[in-house]
Amino acid sequence: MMIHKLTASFGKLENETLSLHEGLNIIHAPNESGKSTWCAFIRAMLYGVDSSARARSGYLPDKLRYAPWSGAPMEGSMDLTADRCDITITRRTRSKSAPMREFSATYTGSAVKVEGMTASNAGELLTGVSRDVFNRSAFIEQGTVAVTGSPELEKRISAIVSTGDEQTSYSEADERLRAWQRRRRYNRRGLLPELEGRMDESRRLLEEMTGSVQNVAQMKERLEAARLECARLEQAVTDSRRRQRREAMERLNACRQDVQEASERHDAALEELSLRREELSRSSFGGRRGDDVQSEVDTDLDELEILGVESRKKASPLFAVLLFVLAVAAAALYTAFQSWVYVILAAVFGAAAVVFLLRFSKRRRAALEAGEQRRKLLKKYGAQTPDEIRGRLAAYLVQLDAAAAALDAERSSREHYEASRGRLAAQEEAALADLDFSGGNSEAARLGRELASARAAAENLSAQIASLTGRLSAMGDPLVLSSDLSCMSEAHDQIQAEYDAISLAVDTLREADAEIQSRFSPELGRVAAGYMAEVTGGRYADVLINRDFTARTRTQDETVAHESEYLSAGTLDLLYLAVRLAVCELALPEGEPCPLIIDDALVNLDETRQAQAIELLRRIAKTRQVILFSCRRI
Amino acid sequence: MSTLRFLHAADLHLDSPFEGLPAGKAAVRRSEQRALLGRIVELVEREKLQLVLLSGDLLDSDNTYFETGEELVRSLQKLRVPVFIAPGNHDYYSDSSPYARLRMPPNVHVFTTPEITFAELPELGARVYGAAFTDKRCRPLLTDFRTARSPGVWNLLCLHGEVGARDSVYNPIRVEELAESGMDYAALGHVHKASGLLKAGPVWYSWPGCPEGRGFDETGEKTVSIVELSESGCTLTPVSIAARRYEILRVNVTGTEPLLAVHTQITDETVRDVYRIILTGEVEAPPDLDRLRRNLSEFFFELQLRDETRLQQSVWERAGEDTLRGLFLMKLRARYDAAATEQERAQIEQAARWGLAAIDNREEVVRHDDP
Repeated sequence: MMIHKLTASFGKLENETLSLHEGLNIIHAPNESGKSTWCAFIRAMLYGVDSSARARSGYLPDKLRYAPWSGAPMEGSMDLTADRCDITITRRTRSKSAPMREFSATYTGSAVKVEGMTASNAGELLTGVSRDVFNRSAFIEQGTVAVTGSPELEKRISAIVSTGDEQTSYSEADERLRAWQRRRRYNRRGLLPELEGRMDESRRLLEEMTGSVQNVAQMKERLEAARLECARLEQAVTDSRRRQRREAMERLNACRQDVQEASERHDAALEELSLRREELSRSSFGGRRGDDVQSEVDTDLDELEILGVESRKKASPLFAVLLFVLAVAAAALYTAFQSWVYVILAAVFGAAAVVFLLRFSKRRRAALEAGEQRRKLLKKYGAQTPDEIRGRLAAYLVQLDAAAAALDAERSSREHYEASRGRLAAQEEAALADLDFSGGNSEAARLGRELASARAAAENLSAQIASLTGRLSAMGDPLVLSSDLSCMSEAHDQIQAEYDAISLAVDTLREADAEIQSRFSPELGRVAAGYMAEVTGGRYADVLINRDFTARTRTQDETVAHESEYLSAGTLDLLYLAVRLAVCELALPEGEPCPLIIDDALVNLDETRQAQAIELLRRIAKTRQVILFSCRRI
Repeated sequence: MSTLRFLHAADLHLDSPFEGLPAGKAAVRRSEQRALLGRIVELVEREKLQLVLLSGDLLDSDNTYFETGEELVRSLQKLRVPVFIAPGNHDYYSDSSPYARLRMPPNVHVFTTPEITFAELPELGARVYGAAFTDKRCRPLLTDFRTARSPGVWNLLCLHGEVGARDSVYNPIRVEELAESGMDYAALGHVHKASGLLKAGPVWYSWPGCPEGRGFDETGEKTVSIVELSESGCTLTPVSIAARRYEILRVNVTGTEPLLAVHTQITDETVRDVYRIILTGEVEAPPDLDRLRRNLSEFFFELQLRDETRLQQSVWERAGEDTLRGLFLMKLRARYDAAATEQERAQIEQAARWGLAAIDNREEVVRHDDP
């Protein structure tokens, strides 16, 4: 392709025209006269203006940067020869948002459209390379001489050095593989670490669960034992309480029995006493003291003795009767004998009979009186005889003794009764203490306390089991968890295998690429070295190009190549110009050489080197058009 | 002698995890596993069986969760017939084992010593011999054991152990020992694949396998055995009480659409089962397992998809090309040819798939189950 004429309303260019010819075109113009604008215009005519590019810090997209200063719409035309045909390309702006969108390609001087050429494919059709490759090869902007890598350029170069598979870019394929690899594991992220985390968590959970399950089993055993102990203690407490109660009640009842008996005995004694007392009071002695009665009875008996004797004294009227008979006999004798002797005798006898009769009567009266008194005295005792009185007295004395004994018995029984009541009260108190199972120190109370603590222990265990079981069930089913774990582990193995396979693919692809690179780098280096030698007058004769298109060079005398950082600005410019030119030679199609557009790439060079570079460009311009913009006159 | 019909089951492995089931499905299986005990009870009642012999490994470990043990006891309690348990290597008898800790109902007899003892069942005209593992490993228990046959009495043996595996550490049992043991039937357990009815001399024996699969190493129909002993001999009827099956299906997808290939091979009866479908054959690009899973998972209780397809030979053919792809394939091919193991070769094939997918800007070759 060769460009003949450019007409541009583009940036500062206001409908300006630039005519070009075959070979090397050097357009000399001062700074700010529009050299870079012309370069950009050529690219825009070929590839269009990207209307979607956005401005960002330090970068203005072409659509803004080269909007015509005059405010006119961005447009232009380019006359060129390609494939032995003269073609005129025009790009116009209809809508401001789509600068230079309207495209036409006609055969120059006619209205005949170039078949198949469109706004988007014109550049690639004409240059033979994409915009991306064009930018990195034939289009050498100011300050961007160094070639940057792009998958597109890479494909072209590898296609050149291999048998031509332009679809494959190592860095793209490598990036894809690495993305897949990263999805699986990238440091601590990705499927594998995530899965490992989950598996660790599951394992930890399972372990904890197994521990808890064993704990629960043990605790259940202990609970079982504790419940048995509780049951045993309950029985023991019941037995012990029953026994203790029975014993307490037995003691209490014995006491009550005692009291009852004492009370009965006392009642009996009381009855006996009152009986005795009644007996005594019923007795003729009227309850009097024994001594008194004794002395009275003794006196009375003595009197009775006397009275008895007295009453028993006999007063016989016999003598009086005899005397009276004698008197009567004397009287009868007198009658018969009338003797005064008889009268005297009758009188003496009569008188004697009267005396004796009086004496008899007196005596008899005294005896009767004594008898009467005796009777009275006996009657006092209600007795017939003194012996009977004596017997009565003896009996009374016995009764008195008995009464005294009854009194004693009553007193003693009362004392006993009271004592037993006292004992009962004490026993009741003791029983109350014994029957208080909540406190105290009895066996039942002690067992009761043991039972309470055993129950508390069982309840505690029960609560612990409940809590552990709750936590366990919250943790899930261990079987389910371990099944899931095995599932995850299987998936892990699969993903790991994928990861390993991808790693192997990454490594192998790198090896394959290295092999290609080992072919294209030397080729590129060789061409670049040729150019480098040419522009440095043979001083630098070796160029080594890395994968990323950075380059090193060394002088003929040096054994180690300089990294680009160590080179002077001029040498570096030259080095990259050489690499660029080599790239152009290798990456641009040979059939229809694409023009080289160079914007002030030689500013850093001294005059000698500049001359040598121009010489080189002149030589290159024999095969392809070279358009060099320069601010310095060359 | 009267006829004796009894159930012979073993290797329930209650409480062992299920392979290939994520949490939700595992929970479902968990409840089903408990139901397995219920189905044993139902079977015994329905078939009016007179005796139950359980030949070990009922529980998966001595760390059995309490509920499982209780469930076991509850189920055994429901059985109104004598039950004999010969603990195996997974549920060996010890003071802390569930058998010692749980209160077994009176109809259950657990053998507790490695010495062979017996229990008389005069009402059935049977005598049940048995012994227990008391550790994870167990010496030969049947060595030099023999007993005389009493007329009118069936001699049964309930034992966990491995027949014919001389070096086994799980009570290796020699066929000759069985033949001379004086038993009528030996109810064995340990091997998870059913043996069918076997005979050593005059002694019938078998192991029923596990009654329900728990992983892809226990595929196919799983059963318990109904054994009938009579004058005329012994018959064994395997009965399936499993709720689900594990199955592995290999599907060759060479030259066909994988989804169709799978559908061609499955039946309508898979919806309760756990399937692992392994895709085999030669393909150019790996099958889209995600899409397959989306379309197939409803047909199974749980589905695992495994891609074991090989790279089509033609893919390797590009190994010679002088391109990035060609060099990549060439280098992998060299590794492939030098690989020592099938596993390595598989990995290299996978690497090739990944690499080609990256080079061709295709989708990610996801092969893993969704964890």
